[in-house]
Amino acid sequence: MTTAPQLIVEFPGVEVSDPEAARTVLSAARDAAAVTAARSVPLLLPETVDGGGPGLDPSILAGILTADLRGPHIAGTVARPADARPWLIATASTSRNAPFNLARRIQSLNRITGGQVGLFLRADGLDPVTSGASAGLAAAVGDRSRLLKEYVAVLRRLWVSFPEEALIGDREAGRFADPRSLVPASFAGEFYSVAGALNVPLPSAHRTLLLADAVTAALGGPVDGIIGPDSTTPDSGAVPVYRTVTWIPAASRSQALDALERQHGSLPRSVINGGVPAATGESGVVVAGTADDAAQVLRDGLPAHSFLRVRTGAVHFTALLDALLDELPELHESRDQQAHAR
Amino acid sequence: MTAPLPRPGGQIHINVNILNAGVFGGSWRVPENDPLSAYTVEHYMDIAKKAEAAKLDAVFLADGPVIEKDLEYRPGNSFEPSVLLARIAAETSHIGLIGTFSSSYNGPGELASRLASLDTLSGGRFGWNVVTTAGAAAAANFGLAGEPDHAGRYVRASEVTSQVVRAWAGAGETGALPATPQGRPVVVQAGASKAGIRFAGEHAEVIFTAAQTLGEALDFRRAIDGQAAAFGRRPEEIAILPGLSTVIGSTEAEAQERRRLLAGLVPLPYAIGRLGGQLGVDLKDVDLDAPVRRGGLPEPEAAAGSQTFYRMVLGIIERDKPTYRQLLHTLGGGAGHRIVVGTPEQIADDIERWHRAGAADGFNVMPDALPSGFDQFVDHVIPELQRRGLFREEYEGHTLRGHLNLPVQPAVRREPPVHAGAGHSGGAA
Repeated sequence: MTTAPQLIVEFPGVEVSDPEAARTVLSAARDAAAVTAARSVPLLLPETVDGGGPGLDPSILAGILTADLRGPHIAGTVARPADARPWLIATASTSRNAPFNLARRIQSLNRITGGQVGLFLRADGLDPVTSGASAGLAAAVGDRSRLLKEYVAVLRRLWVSFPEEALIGDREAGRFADPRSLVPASFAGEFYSVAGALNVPLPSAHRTLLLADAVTAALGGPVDGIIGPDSTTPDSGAVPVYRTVTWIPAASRSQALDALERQHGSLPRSVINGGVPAATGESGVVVAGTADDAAQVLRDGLPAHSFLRVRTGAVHFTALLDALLDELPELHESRDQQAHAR
Repeated sequence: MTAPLPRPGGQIHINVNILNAGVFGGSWRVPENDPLSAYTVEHYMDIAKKAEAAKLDAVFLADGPVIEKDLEYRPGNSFEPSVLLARIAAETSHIGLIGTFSSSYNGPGELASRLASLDTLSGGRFGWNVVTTAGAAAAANFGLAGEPDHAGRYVRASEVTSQVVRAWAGAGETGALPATPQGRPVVVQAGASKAGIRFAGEHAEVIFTAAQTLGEALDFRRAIDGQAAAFGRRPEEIAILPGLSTVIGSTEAEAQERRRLLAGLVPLPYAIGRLGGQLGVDLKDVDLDAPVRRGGLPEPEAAAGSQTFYRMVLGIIERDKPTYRQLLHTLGGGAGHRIVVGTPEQIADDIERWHRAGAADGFNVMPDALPSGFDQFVDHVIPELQRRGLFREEYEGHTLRGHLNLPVQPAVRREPPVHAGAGHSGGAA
């Protein structure tokens, strides 16, 4: 099984209304990815803006960020331990992506980065291509856990369907690949039917980190962790459940609290003012304060797995995150340390 | 039938189609290239950077959501194009980025926002090559028991394209998408069936086509002009870029020898299987030195799979009356686009002739082998075209629309789009 990282940080979901804003967000994302990479903390790229509309597509953003990757890998092959932490985690919904397409984008990112991209999958219904393939299928979707269970099974099969070892490249014999090494998905379930193998190879030893939202709590094995608003769901078995910690930095406290209040009608019970710990609520923990305050809440949550959201715009995100991570050496280790440790 | 309209400006547009290891079935076996390079990201990055240094309009990525059945004998499409183009965008600043995405196997909402993100983050350099994706194998990756019929695929293509373009224009239901410096991505189309021409007339701003002769290309242009006019569009705002496979030598004899080498490198089982698939005939036991039998082959409209390439192969059979072996040699296990063999000057002559005749606004160049064949093209053919004043020496803009002289599109479209597959009766070719 892939080792779930103890801390995952989400990049802010910000609206990009014009090309100048796009440049600003991209620059902030590059800075943030550099800071998190230096500490081996995965950066999660959201699918939507904080208000819920479409943001910058996370697989496109990840594709651009791969150009900044400088690490102990050889592009095109995976020279990392199979259980190494990913560098980026892209978010995607079942309602927007047929599994073959999503599996292929993540596999492509992993081929480019040498296996450093994970997926956070949100179960929210059938995608239009799948629902269009069979009349009545959309109406049958009642239990998101069943749907997600199938989706995850398809992803897992596709990700190992084209072992890199199948590539031969024998000029003299005129044999490019060994098709007998392919392992087609051959999946036929209640919702999804996927026949073939992916056309993007990866070494068979690689396992992609896969997180899902909380409806998969009963799944066990195929997912590596659970993030979600109701991630306190019991019976998750051996799968880590991430506690969501929302940090409202002191400088942006008033504005962010106002936004939260608008969103919830009133402030959640779990809001912590000035870093005083409070009970975890259904929305996780909200801490309004300094980097020290937020670090203390994360530290107090150990050894639980934490998913950190920072309520700020893209411009200030990296500096705030840098300050916070400086306070948390126990929750990360440098890439060099990680490489040496292995 | 409408006469071809003159096109503004004298500059040729040139894209490089990074067709994995090259256009021929045996391209991956040439001695100067790494046989597995098409499965590394560096392969695509290096070509894209060279294309930008040579001031090409765009890189072009073909694609299909399926693993090729001929993988034993040649490389296929691999990296998902939006992810790969994002990576290329990060390391380039001007080159256009055209990727192929299926209208049959993507949902319009997700596709619109993903491609808008790519256009925004690349600074307005993206173009969507709309394809309907032929074949039962792709269909089986998306829950379908069989391939959707040709007409049905094009009805969906028109509907999906309209929805995507409306979303880009801010009139869709997906919410506000990122604004881009070129207004919206360029819509590119490949496919020359009747339904494909109709689709192109309605939607396409760039057309990637396969024409073997000048006459075919001029007929195609007239058909497109007629369709565009029928949909109320200005034909001169559509760029037609036929595929052009190039085999370059420092002398004509050297180029011909290179062509023979490439024909000999095509793994025979692959070539026979591919041709059999294109013709819809099992050729395993056929006498390769016998003439190809035209009788028994279906008419293009009745052919399954890609009608464009079936028409092209049929044209060669009727014109040249080849044996099976000769036909295999002519096709070279390639994609079926026109092949020009010669010195850089001869290839420049060919390009200039087609351009001046009004048959092409430029070309989607498909080098014989990658990266070596592209190196030769940018080192020798591009300078020759520049010397003749036919190709830019510097970029004048930063966007794909700028390179292609296409108008920047308004943020919001005033008129709802017409759906080609929804009963419009005018202008059929």
